[in-house]
Amino acid sequence: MSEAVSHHDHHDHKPSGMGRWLFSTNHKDIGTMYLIFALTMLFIGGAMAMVIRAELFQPGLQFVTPQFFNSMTTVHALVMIFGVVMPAGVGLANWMIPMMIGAPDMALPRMNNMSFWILPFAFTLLLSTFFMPGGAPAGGWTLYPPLVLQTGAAFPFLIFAIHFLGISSILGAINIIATVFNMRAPGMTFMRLPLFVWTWIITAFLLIATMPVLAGAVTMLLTDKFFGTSFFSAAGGGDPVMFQHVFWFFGHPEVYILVLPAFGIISQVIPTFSRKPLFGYESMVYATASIAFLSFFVWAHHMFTVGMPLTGELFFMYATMSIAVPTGVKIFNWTATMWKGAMSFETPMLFAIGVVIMFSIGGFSGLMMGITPVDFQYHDTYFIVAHFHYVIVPGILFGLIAGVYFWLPKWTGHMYDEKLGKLHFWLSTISVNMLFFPMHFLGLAGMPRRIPDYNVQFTEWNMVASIGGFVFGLSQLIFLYLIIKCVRGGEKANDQVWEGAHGLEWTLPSPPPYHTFTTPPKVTEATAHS
Amino acid sequence: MVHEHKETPAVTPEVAAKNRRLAIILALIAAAFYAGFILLNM
Amino acid sequence: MFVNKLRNCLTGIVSLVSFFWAGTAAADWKLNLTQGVTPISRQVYDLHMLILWIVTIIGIGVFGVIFWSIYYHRKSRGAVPAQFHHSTVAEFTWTIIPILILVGMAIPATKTLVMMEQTGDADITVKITGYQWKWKYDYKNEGIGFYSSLAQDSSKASALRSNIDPGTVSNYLLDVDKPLVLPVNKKVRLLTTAHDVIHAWWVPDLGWKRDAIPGYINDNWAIIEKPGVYRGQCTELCGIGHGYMPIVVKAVPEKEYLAWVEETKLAQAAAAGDSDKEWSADELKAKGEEVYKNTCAVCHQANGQGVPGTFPALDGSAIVNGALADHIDRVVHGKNLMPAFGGQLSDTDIAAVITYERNTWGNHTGDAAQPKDVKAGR
Repeated sequence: MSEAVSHHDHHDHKPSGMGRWLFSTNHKDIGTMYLIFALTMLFIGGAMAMVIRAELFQPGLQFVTPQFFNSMTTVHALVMIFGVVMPAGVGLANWMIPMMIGAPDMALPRMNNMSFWILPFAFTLLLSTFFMPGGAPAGGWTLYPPLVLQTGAAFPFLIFAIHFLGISSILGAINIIATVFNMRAPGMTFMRLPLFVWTWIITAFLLIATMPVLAGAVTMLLTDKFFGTSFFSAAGGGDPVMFQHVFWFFGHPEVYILVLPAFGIISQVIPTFSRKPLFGYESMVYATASIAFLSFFVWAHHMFTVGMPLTGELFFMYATMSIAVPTGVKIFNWTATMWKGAMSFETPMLFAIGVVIMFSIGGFSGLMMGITPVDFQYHDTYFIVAHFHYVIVPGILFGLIAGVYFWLPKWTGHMYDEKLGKLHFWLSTISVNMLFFPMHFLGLAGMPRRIPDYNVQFTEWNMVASIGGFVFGLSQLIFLYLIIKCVRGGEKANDQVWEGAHGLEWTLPSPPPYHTFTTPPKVTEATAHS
Repeated sequence: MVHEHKETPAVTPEVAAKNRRLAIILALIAAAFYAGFILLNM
Repeated sequence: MFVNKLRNCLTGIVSLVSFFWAGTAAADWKLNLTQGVTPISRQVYDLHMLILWIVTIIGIGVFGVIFWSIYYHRKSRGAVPAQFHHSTVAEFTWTIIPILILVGMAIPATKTLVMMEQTGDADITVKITGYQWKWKYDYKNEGIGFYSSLAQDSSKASALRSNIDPGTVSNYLLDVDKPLVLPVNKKVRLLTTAHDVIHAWWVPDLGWKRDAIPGYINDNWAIIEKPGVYRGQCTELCGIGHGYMPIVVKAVPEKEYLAWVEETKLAQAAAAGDSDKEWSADELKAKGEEVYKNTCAVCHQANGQGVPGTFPALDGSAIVNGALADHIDRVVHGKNLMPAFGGQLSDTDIAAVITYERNTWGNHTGDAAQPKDVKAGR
């Protein structure tokens, strides 16, 4: 509260013009840039998904060549993973972590700026490949050799884009760890941190351990193609399956990198709107840490069909199944938080409850896939596509959206339009289930993934999915409109915004001054997390 | 063009040094993973 | 009010349950995995159903609690929030019980996986090789081998904007020119490998899929218990033809199988002799058009226009209209992305397709290639 009358505030003028954004070292501005970037990329990746669903609406090839279709699936995934979910997570971290721990900014503000500006550069590299001979990469976002080595002129651009994206993420992770470890306000002990900060600490360690592994893997692809090495070529004494091992050693922790920040948001939203503390704070921290730890031991469940020795298959099956335990703990703890609370269902809470239910559905199909002998039937079919889209879209994306609705009033000082928010929620939820649930049936019925056309027996569910897809895509325009409307104006938001909100960030004005906590606040048990 | 950044009481030279040191250590760990995975495959 | 909610809930649950129970639901709205026709496929199906039931029951339980809470523990109903945020007993319970359930799943799963590894004592062995974009089947002990490509009517209908209704094509995208013929009730060992990139061989009714990896050989087995035709597809992204290289297994009684083996052996011996024969230009062109449609059109297109920037046009091409020896060399030895078809096509087929290309569309070289010319050019 002393912040509002601090005499440091008289220099709360912001820099102006393009320089403010190009050279920003302010965590709020950088957070905003990450979020706007992510939202833009959501529509770009989403447009690619619309092309895919349009082609798959009916059997027969109506709109695009198989080559272009494969580029759509490949770049759609790269954009969504590296251009939407990860930047949005970092954007929310940038905005909220300093305020949540009582720090004035991130530990390394100039490096923070660079971490962001690498992203538009890297995606320009990647998206420009659409205009090159041979077109954009079309070997799947998983980049398996030998197929990926058949990529044309786009190949080096693809590799360098991935290198840059990795550097951006690693630098961001370093910044987050340094900030949380070194710049907490006095009294803000680790076990008083909001769960969102905890999940981001753990995510940051995962990033530092695994992004370099991806960089190593794609470097080896580069040298195989241009410098005569044969890391992944059997003829040269190498092994194409080794790429898969290295890639998925990154790839599995990567999915937890994607989901943990969203889990952190849910752990902020549900207690707030239940007006009740988070159930089992310590277990939530330990469960998150266990999930992250276990995630290093399960990578080969993405490769059950390559022909591993039996012992390998059994080990990875048991390890994969074990992750269900800490994940279940989190679901049960969120449920127990709601239980005997006094809930209200504003938009953030609607999305958060949606996450708990629909992420669980994705988790169930994930458990089914972890059973190796049955995975031999599911692998590389639409059953897998259904699984990961359930955990990523109504799981992670809805979690990020919940965070945006939750914090928009704090960032802008205006309440967003609640009616529009609810409409966005209901339209999105109904259409996302129309879009992805039938894919379970398609996979079980025998439809492989990454195909531009299919036998007529798969027609009906594909039609349902495509219609769901179009409605879901259009519904996100409501979100865009609502954000713009909220930035421009709306009912004034007070400091706390939500009746059940607790934490340092809710002691600041809405919107907060350009520089906050230049003098660290004193933190007691009472002012700590919800 | 660069916004004048006054010293804030929270970020003392000691804290700044701690931040720099931690950042370098983490970056070295990342580099070790990178090199390690390539060497493992040779 | 509450009774109504309960009734609606139960109706929903019963419908959901009956959906899953209808294993043989109408093909068009197919919901479930096939039970298949092998010992493996049936065990896998049973395991799938077991896990599906377990997760469904857990889901109904957990979501039930959530919906109950949403209804009863809401501020608008006057609920006053409790403040508990701790319970070691609860935490312990919902950690231990899931562990027990998982162990319960792991036991039958382990048994099935161990059974799937028993590839020994097979009656026949077939080597399956994935190509971009077709399969090759080699029956080592019987001395026969052949390529299996997408059937022509499917290929034609699947072209971009072909305006042919896929509903009029039988087994659209799931039909081939030469199926894999196997005897029923015999243990068949199927080895999978690949020639170029990673593919995967999958027939759902057999109960498994396996990657086909260049330079490596994977080992699998099946005992097909029912005669019939079983269809599958390539299930590892392998380029533009990934969706166009289906698999057809024709399982027949042993006698029929043995007769087919003999017939195929004779036909292959006859075809080998063809390369010394002199063919007429018309014979070559007619055969060449077939080969072109099956093998070349996927990249160079039926009209010979290719795909600008990726696959060169053959209509008006310098190589097709230039020296015969150069044209033969290009097809036999390939270049960059173009495979070396010398390893995949016979002398006769290559001679035929070259003759066709040189005398169709806008090309009128007037010359013909004989199989012995191709043999000389290898």
